[in-house]
Amino acid sequence: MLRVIHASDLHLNTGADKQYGLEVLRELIGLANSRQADFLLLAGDLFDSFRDLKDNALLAAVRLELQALRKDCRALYIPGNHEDLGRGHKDKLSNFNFGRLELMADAASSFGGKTAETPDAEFVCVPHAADYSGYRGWKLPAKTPGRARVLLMHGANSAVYRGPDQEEQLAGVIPDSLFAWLEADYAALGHVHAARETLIGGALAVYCGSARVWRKWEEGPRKAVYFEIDGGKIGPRQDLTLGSAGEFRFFTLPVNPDSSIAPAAMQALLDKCPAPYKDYLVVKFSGLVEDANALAEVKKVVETVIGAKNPRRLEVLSDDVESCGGLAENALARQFLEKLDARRPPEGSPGMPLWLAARRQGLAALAGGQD
Amino acid sequence: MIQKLILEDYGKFKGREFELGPFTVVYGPNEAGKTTLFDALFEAACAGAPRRGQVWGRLAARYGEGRKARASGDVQQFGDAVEFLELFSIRAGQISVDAEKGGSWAEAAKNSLYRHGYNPAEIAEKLEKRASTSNATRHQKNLNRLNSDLAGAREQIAQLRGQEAAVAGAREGLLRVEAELAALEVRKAGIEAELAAADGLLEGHKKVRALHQAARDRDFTAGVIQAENKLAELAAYKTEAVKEYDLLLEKIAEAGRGAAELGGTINAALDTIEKLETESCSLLESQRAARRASETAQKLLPEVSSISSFRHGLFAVLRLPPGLRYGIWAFGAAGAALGLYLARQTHLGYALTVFFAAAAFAFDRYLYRPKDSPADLAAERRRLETVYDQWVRRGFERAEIERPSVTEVMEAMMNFKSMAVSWDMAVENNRKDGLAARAAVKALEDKSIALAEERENCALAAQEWLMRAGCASRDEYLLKANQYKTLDGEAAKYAGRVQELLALESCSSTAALLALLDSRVKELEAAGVRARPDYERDIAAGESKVKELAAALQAEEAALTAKKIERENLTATFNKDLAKIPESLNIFRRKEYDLEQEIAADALARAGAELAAAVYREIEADSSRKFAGLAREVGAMLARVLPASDLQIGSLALESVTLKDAGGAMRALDQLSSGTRDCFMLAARLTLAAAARAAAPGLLLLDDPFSALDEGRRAAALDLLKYFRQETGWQLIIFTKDRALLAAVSKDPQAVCCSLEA
Repeated sequence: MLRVIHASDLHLNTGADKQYGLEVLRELIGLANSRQADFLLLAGDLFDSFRDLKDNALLAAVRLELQALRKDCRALYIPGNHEDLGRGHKDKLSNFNFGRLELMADAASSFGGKTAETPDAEFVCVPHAADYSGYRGWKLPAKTPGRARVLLMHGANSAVYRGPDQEEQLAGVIPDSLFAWLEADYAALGHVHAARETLIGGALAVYCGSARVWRKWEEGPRKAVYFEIDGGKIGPRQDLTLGSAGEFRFFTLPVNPDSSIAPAAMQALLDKCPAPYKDYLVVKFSGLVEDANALAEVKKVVETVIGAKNPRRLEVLSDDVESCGGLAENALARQFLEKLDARRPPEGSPGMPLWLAARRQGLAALAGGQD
Repeated sequence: MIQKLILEDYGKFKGREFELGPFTVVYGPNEAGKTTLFDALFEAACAGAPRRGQVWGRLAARYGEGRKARASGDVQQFGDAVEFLELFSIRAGQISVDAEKGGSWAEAAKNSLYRHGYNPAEIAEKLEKRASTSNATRHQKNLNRLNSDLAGAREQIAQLRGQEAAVAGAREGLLRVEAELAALEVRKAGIEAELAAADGLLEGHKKVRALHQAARDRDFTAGVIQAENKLAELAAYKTEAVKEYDLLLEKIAEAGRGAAELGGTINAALDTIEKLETESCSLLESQRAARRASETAQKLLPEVSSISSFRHGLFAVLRLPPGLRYGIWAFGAAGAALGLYLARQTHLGYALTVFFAAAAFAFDRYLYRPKDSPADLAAERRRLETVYDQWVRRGFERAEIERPSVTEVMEAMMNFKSMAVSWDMAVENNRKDGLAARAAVKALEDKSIALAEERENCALAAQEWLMRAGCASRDEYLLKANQYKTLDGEAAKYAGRVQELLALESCSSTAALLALLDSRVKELEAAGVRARPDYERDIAAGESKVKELAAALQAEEAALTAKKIERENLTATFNKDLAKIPESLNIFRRKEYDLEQEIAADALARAGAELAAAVYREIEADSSRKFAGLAREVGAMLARVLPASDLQIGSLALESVTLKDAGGAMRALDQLSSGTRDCFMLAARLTLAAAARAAAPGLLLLDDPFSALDEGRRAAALDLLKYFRQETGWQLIIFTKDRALLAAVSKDPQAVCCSLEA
């Protein structure tokens, strides 16, 4: 029986996030050890760019972290599109010392992938490419009966995930038909930062999601996927939450026309993030205000109040708030807001977006504009 | 409260100060400056309001831009100049004007109620429109477009998926086609083997047929040879040859017929000779008579002729040609013309003209047209009688020559003269005919003898022909000839087939053919082929079987070709590049997602608008309730002035306001006395003004408000104002030119009076 952990998109870099990224890697290695994993699959974008990869200190730190990985575990690594950023034509990843990390593919050649075989499974590792459509020409041995074939790839596939990911267009697109062609049973995919899985062409194609919060809107806990292969069969999957990665949290804060914020709403927000040490917080103001300057003041206050909780990153967005004169004094607006507040659903409930939309529409109609 | 109004330079007031109390009455006659003071107070109260609109333009026009006025004390501020004039200043007789116009202060009150023109019903309507799914709205149109884009993107996705699936599916297709091809090859081989076996069997059946054919042809050839021999035997006897014999018989018959005919002709010729001899006698007699008459006529003719010559004048005598007659006329005419010509010279010309004309006339008359005289005619008759006499004397009939004229007599004579010659010729002809007839008889007799000889010769020749043909009779010969003909016909019938066989077997003669066929039969028999009656049936069955198998083979080959083409197509598809399909697919799936998000956002916005509209409707309902409360307040206040008024207000529109008149009848506002209307106005305006101002300190300017009220009602109205002032703490300022009102107000200890001079 094989135990496999599938993770991707760590985006290790030399910037302010360096320690954060290494901590996540450490947790991942710790999970591999505690689960007695035989394989740790890293499906691309381990480094944020080729420049970060070239950084000796960072690479040494990575090697050091990987020393902690249990001896029986192999860490298979394929480069993603980010390893290509800033990479010259002559630069080769194979020239670098990754320590315990096994570089399974160099992006230099058309396929250039390697396979790792065990009695239970064979791992086909494909380097990132801008175009995967030539997959039928790949020289790959036929799948051995009784073995599960695990595909390690980095790229976009809209059959699995088609959301608004800014990164998505920067990597090659994996054709839907590839999975069936390569007779994969499990496709360990990287590149998309949201976790998704789909059964396609006989293969279970899984984006485990990025192992860390790299960008805004990467909501939900970060995680790696754990599964076992027994007798050539892929067992049930289990999500391993990476606590050290923290979370991306997004809040909408309704602002009153006089730029004040209801204390209850503020308190509800603070209650939601009791220990946001690792978290990436984005607070968005919603509504119409009388005075844009007053709003800027309030924004500062909110930043200070939430910043006191010491999140990893904090952004307060007020772009969506429109300013409109006369509303604060407007008794009708006041009446409207009073009545609407009476209908306010609990924070985070499914009715909240509707309530915010009604608030926005109602005030906009009063202000003369129409959304 | 405004305690002091200082007019530094304001209209007619320069450097004037006015002390004001909580209840001030400004008294002055017309043109005393009440309106100026009113405007200055208005300007002080609305100092913080935006200076837009014609109100401000009017003030500037009236008092100039440099006007200066200020108020001291805790001045009540109003943010809207128009609203101030509509709600916080009351003028005399305003109610009647407003009732006609629909009530501008009433509208202002309503607006104030909803706060500065924001009407929840209007906003709810706006939001409901946003939430509406009517295709007329901009949002719905946009949503329709989005939905159509979404459908388009989904179609594209399906198409691209199909393309990718086709390429990916080509491998399974190829494997399947290869397997099918192998199966088809096996089947084809089976059919080929079966076909070979069927072919062998058919070959055996065909050998039997060949044996049958060879034997049949051999027998046929033998028959032909036999027939040929017989034909050679009878070759001499021909139906045509008997014609020679028949010709001889014909000649014999003809000679007989000719002899008979000649006998008849000879007899006829003899009869003719006899007739000619008889005729000859009578002719000789007639010849004699005619010769005598002729001689007589010859003798008499000169005499008759002389009679005749006399009758024809010179013309006849001289035998002149008739044309000469025209010559004579021409000669006369020419002479006359010449005469006429000469007459111009000499008178002799006329004589010459007459002469020629007369000469021509005389010539014509005497030469050509002699006129017989009766004496001449009688002489002629006599001379003719002598001629007749001579004729009769010679033994002829007078009648024979007697004619009316000499000419005719002469003609008759001439006839008799020539008749002798005719009779001579007739006698000569008769003699010649007799000679000819005798010569003909001689020739016919010679010919008859020749015919008899020819007949004899022909009979001998016929006898000889029969002997030569070796037949006793003509019938025997004909029998043999017919036999030959029949055989020859039969031979002609076989000839085609014989020629065919000869050509087929490349033999020069039938004998050689017979030998060849015989040897072939023997050869086939030696090879074990035995004749069998149903070989044709076997061959037909074998052939149909072979044909069937060949068709099956052909079909199999066609199927193989089709499969190979399919394999080629599939190979081509398989080798085709995916050509950016995954990228396009990705783009369209993203587009689909984006559109779905946009549509969801629109749906959320719509639901939000619906919810907001519901909230505004709720506010609207609340406002209506608030208004109902206001109406009650107005009623209570009015009751202080008109205790039995029983005010009923349906809505803020003045048309729907009714109250009881003095007689107790319910009337609409515009049907009441102006005093009653003013009372209502005061109560309503006070209530609405208080409601509009809420808790803020207020100022109310009243410009001659009670001009239409009697003393009793005015006192009641002043009581009302006092009550209002006590309840709200508002500052009231009344402008009036009515001394009685001034006196009434002055009774109030808190009242401040301010008199203006005219």
